[in-house]
Amino acid sequence: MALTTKAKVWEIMGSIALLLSIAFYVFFYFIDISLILIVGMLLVLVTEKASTDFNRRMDELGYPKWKRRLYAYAQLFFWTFTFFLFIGGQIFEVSNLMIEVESHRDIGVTLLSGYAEYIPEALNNQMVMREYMMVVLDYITSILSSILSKASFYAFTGIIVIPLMLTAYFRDRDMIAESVYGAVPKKYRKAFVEASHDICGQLNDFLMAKLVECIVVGGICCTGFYVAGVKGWLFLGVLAGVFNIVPYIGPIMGAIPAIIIAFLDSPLTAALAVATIIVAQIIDSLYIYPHMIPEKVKIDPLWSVLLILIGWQLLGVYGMLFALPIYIVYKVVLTNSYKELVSLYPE
Amino acid sequence: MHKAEKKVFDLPFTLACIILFILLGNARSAASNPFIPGILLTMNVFLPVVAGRIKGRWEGALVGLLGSLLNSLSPAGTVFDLLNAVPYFLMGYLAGVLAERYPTPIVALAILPGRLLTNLIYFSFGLVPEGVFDNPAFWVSLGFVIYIGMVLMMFMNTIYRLTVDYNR
Repeated sequence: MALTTKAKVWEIMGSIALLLSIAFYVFFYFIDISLILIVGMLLVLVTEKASTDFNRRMDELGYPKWKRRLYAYAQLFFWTFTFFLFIGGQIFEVSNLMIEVESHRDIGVTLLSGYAEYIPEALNNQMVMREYMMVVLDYITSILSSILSKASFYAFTGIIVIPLMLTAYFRDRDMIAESVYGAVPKKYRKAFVEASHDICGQLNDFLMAKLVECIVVGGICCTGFYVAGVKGWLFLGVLAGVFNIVPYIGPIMGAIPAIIIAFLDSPLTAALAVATIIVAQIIDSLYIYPHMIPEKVKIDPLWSVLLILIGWQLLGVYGMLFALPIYIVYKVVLTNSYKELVSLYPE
Repeated sequence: MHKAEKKVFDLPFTLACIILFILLGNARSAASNPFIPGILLTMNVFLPVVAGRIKGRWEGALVGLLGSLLNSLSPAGTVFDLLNAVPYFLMGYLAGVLAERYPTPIVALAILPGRLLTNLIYFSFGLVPEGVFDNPAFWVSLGFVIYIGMVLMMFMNTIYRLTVDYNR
C-alpha cells in the first residue's frame, strides 16, 4: 500500500508517536509504580474475563440473581483466604530465612575464631579474616534485605492501589470512557472510538494470551518437576512460567536454575527436568502460541530477538521484559491510527 | 431450568488424563502418608474430579478407574492403587453428575466421599493401623486435601476454559 502524501496525516501521526514516547519515558522513569499498575491492569483483565466466564457458567446452570451473588461472594472469600494463606506462608518463610542468615553470620564468625589455629600462617590474621567474612555475609544479607524490601513495597503499594484500580474500572469505566471521548474533537470522535476499540481489543488479547501462556507453561513445568523429583519444584516451575514472558531467551533463562538444581540431585533428575522443559516448549510453540496470540500482533522471530537485545542494552532487565509489549503498542496504535486518518483525509 | 447439552465422549482428553494420572502416581517428589504406612501422598487423587468437572461423568469415572488400575501395574504401584479403582471411579462419576447442576466449589466436594470410601476399603482390608480414625490430625489432613482439591480444581478449570474453550 502506498503511503499517503497528506501532511495533516503525518502531523497527527508524529504527535501520536511523540505522546506514546513521552508516556513510555514516564513509564520507565517511575518503573516501580508502573510495575504495580501493570499488575493491576492484568488483574483487571483477569477479573473481567473471570466474571464473564462466571456469568456464562451461571447462565448454563440457570441460576437466579441471588444465587449468583451468593456464589460470587463465596468465591471472593475463598480466593482472598487462599491468597493470604499462601502469601502469609511465603512472608513467614522469607522472614525465617532472614533470621537464619543473620544467625549464620554470627555462627560463621565464631567458628572462624575457634579454628584460627588451623588456618595457614599467611591467612592467620583473625581480624582480616573476620572482616572478610563479615563483608561477604553482610553483602548476602543486604541483597536479601533489598529483595525483601522491594517485595514489601510492591505488596503493600499493590494492596492499596490495585483494589482502587479494580473499583475505578468496574464502577466508573463508562464515565471515564465518555469523558475521554468527550474531550476528542467531534470531527475525529468516530475514528477515535473505532481505533481505540481496536487497539484495546488487540492489546487485551495479547496480554491475556501471554498471561495464559505463562500460567500453562508454569503449570506444565511445576507438574514435570514434581514428577521428576526436582527440589523446590513449585518455585522453579513458577519461575520458568514467569521467564516465559520473554520470548526465545526467557525459556532458556527459566530452565537453567531448574536443570542445575536437578543435576545436583542426579543426572536422571536433570534429564527429566530437561524433558519437562522441552514438552512445555513444544506445547507452547505448537498449540498455545499459534492459537492464542492474535495474528495482528505476531512478530517475526529475528525481529523479536533484535528488539529484546536492544531493550537489554538500553534499559537492562526491564528493557528486555518490555521490549515486545512496547513494540506491539507502537505497532497497533500507529497502524490503527494511520488507517483511520487515511480514511478521514483521503488523497 | 437448564437443559444439558448432548456431550460426546472425549477420548484424547481421557487418555491424556490417564497418562497424567500414572505420571503423578510415579512422581519422585511424592511424600509418604504419615497416617497409613505404604501409601504415597500423590496429586493424582484430584484428576478424576477435574476430568469429571471439565468433560463429564464418564470421562471422570474412566480416568479414576483406568488410572488407578494402570497405576497399580506401574513401578510405583501398590495394592492401595488397586483398591482405589472403585472409589476413584465413583468420585469421577459423582463429580460429573454434580458439574451438571452445581458450580465448581461444590463439585470439588466429590473428593470427600471418594476419600472416605478409600479409607473404609483400606480399613476393611486391615491396612489401616489401629486408632487412625480417632486421631483428629487425620481428619484435619483430610479437610486440607479437600481444600487443596478445591483450589486446584477451580484453578485448572479456569485455565482450561481460558485456553481450550478460549473462542467459545
